[in-house]
Amino acid sequence: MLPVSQVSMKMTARILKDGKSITATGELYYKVTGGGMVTRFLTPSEYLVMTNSNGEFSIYNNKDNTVTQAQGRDYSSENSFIYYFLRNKTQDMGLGTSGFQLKDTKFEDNLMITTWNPPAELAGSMTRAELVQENYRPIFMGFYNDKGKPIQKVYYSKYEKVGDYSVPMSITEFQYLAKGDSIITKRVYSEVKVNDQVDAKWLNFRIPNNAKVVK
Amino acid sequence: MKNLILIFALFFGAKSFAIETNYKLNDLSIDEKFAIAQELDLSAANLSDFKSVVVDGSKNKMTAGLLGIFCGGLGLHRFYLGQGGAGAAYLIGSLCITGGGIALTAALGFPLFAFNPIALLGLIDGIVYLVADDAEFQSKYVANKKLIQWL
Repeated sequence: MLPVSQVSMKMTARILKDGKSITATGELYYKVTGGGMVTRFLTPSEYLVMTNSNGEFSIYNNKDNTVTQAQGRDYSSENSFIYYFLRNKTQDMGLGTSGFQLKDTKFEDNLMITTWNPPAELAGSMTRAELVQENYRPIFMGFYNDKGKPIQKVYYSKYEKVGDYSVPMSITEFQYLAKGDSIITKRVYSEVKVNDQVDAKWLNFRIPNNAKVVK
Repeated sequence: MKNLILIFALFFGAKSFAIETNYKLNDLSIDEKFAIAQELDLSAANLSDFKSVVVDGSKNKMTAGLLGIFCGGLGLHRFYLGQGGAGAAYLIGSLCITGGGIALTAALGFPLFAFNPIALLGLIDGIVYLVADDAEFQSKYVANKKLIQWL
C-alpha cells in the first residue's frame, strides 16, 4: 500500500451540556509533509481553520473576507490527533512532548495502562494522567485532579485503517466541571479519503491578499 | 472460624480495590443523550463580528460562545464581553503555562490536544454562554467580571 501523503475526512462534532446540544459539521484536510491542516467548518457557519507544523494559525471567514491569525507551538498541527495517528506516535499521544513523565506501566486483561505525572506548570490543576491502550491502540486518556477526580476523559473508538495506520473514527470527551456537571463532546469522522482521492482545493487554499486582518 | 471470616473479608476487601474506571464508553448511551437534547441554532453567530458592539450595548451570546470555544486560550471571548482584565488574565495565563505558545482547545472538531487549562476554561466559558438563555447570559456572564464566571 502506498504511504499516505494526504488525507481528508468528513466530521460531525456535537457538544452536550445541561440537556442542550450544539452540532457542527465540516471537513478535515491534512497533508502529512509539512503538516498543513485545514478544517473547513460548514455548519453552523462556514469558516476555514488552518494551521501547519510551524503553528501558523488562521481562521478565515469567506463571507466577510476576514482573517484572525496567531502563531505558536501549541497551534501546530503536530498537536492534532491526526498527526499522532498518521505518524504512528500513539505510544504516548504527545504526553511526553508536553512534559509529562511516565510514572507507571501495568497490564490488565488486554490493556496497557500507563500513568503519567504532569509537568510543573500543570501540577497545580492535575496530579496524574492516564493513557490506556488495547492492542497498541489508544482507547482512553484521562486527567485527574489532586482529589483523584477526573478533569477530562477522552475515549477513542471505531478504529479504521488509513494507509498503514489505524485511526479512531469516534472521539468522545468529557470535561468535568464543578458540582458534578460535565460537558460531552463527540466527534465522528467518516468518508476518509487518501492521496489522489483528496480534493486538494481546500488543502491548497490561500487566504486572499486583500483579506482584512481582525485584531 | 475467626480465620475464615478474616479470609472472607480480605477477599471481598481486595475485590473492592479493583480498578473501577471504565476505559470503554457505551456509545449507545451517549447517542441517546444527544438524541433527546435540545439542539441550539447557531446559524446567527458571526465569529468575525466580535469587534463590533450591538447598538444597545448588549453582546451577542453566540459570538461570545464561539470565541470561547475557538479562542479560549487567547481570552478573546472575555475581551469581546468588555472584560479586559479577565481577557488579559487568560492570555497571560496561557503564555505562562505554555512557555510562550498558546494552546487552542479542541472543541467543535478542530483536533488539537490542549494541555492548557486556560484554553479549557475558555472552552467551558463558550459552552456555558451558548446553553444559557439570553437573559441569563446578559445578567450572569456579560455583567460578571469574575475570572471564573460559572463557579
